[in-house]
Amino acid sequence: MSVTAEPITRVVAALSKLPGIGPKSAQRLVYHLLQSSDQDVEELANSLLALKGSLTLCSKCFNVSDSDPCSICADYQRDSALLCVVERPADIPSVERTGKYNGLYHVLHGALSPSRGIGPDDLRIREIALRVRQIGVQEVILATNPTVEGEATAMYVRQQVSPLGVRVSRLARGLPFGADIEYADDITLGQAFDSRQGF
Amino acid sequence: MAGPRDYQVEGLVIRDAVVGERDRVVVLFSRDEGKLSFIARGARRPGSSLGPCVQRLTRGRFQCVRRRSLDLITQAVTVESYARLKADLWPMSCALYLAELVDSSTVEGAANRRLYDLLVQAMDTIDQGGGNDMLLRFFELRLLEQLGFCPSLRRCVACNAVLQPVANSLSARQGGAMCPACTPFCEDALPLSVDALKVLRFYLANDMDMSCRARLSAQLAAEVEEHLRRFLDSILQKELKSRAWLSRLRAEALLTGNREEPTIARRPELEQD
Ligand SMILES: [Zn+2]
Ligand SMILES: [Zn+2]
Repeated sequence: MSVTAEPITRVVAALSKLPGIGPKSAQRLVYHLLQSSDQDVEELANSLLALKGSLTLCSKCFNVSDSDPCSICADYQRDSALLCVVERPADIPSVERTGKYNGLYHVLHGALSPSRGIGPDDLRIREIALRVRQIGVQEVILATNPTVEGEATAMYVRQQVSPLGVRVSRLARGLPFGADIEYADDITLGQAFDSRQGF
Repeated sequence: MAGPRDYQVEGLVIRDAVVGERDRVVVLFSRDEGKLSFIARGARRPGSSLGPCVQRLTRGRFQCVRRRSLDLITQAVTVESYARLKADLWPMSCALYLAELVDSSTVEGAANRRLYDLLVQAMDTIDQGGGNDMLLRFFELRLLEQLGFCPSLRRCVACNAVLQPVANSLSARQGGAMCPACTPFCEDALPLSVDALKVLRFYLANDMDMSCRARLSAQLAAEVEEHLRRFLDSILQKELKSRAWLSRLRAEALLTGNREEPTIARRPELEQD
């Protein structure tokens, strides 16, 4: 017989699957929840249920959104001549916070990883060329992470879109190699946007 | 001050993975201790001094602390960042393939200095613009040699007869070449042309620079590649993922616009035995 009640082990197991949460942290969270008010726990449960149910992928940029097209793609104030390519949806708020960019986005949902078997067909790469033609993009800005995988992705996308006659640029190395866009501070990311270069 | 649990290693980052919010798991192939895994805390944070040093395909010196679970990298100095290699898709992909090859064929903590030297020399060569198919084949064969699985290429592995310059075969399962008389009795024997046998012997007898300069016809290169692929697959017991990527790049002809296709047969150094 286990000394821990079964409902607890179940939640611990479920939380441990989340990135950055080990069994110990999961256990801590569970005991915290047990001490919280019924109302707080209910709100958390309901918001988690609503998360999957109400969200969808924008059919234009593949950002996670509660509407299709997403609010950015639907915004006529934004400059459709600029297309910023990012690895993950979480990179978009980071770029938005810099206040330096008023174009559109394209989310790849990952990066090329030869040794993990993640190839171009596993990402939204082919769709970039379609969008470039459809909305008259003049510049594709490659904002993938400055890691080996992010660089490989950027170089591959460049090869795919260069024949279309668009300008291709890459965020400058204000960002140190090995960093994640999602965790970049606003100043560093802003500088990187200002000094982006032909690629 | 260095404590009793501190130590230093020199090595090449052959694999990495994200862990936690800002950390990275780093797998080194080290000069003196073979493959080793570490945690580099905070390495994904912009501005982290560790970040650039623990990127894949970077060679460095690492200050480490022994722990009960994965050891920590606390400080690092880059010896070679291989920036040129990382600036183009084909060379970078070749290097990633070699890194995966070493990763898949070694176990943690088994020192292999000669394999380390081979890997570093290959990275240096790719970085200097020498990343071609010959280098990959040379590396594959020499890796097999380092692991103790070098194909037997002088005598028939079944009857021990000296191989004649005729159409022989190669069997990955039997571990080498086979004479025409023994070939029908071996299930996985694949035809081995005289030229392909010469190429394999050439790679074993010559250094990396020399081997990279050999020019093979497309057909001969494909034959040599297939033989080595079968050998590696039978030993590693798995398909290497980055190999599919190299094939795709080649198929898309993204980088092979001016690939030469001369023939090897009349190169004098290949005739010597
Ligand atoms: Zn959208
Ligand atoms: Zn025989």
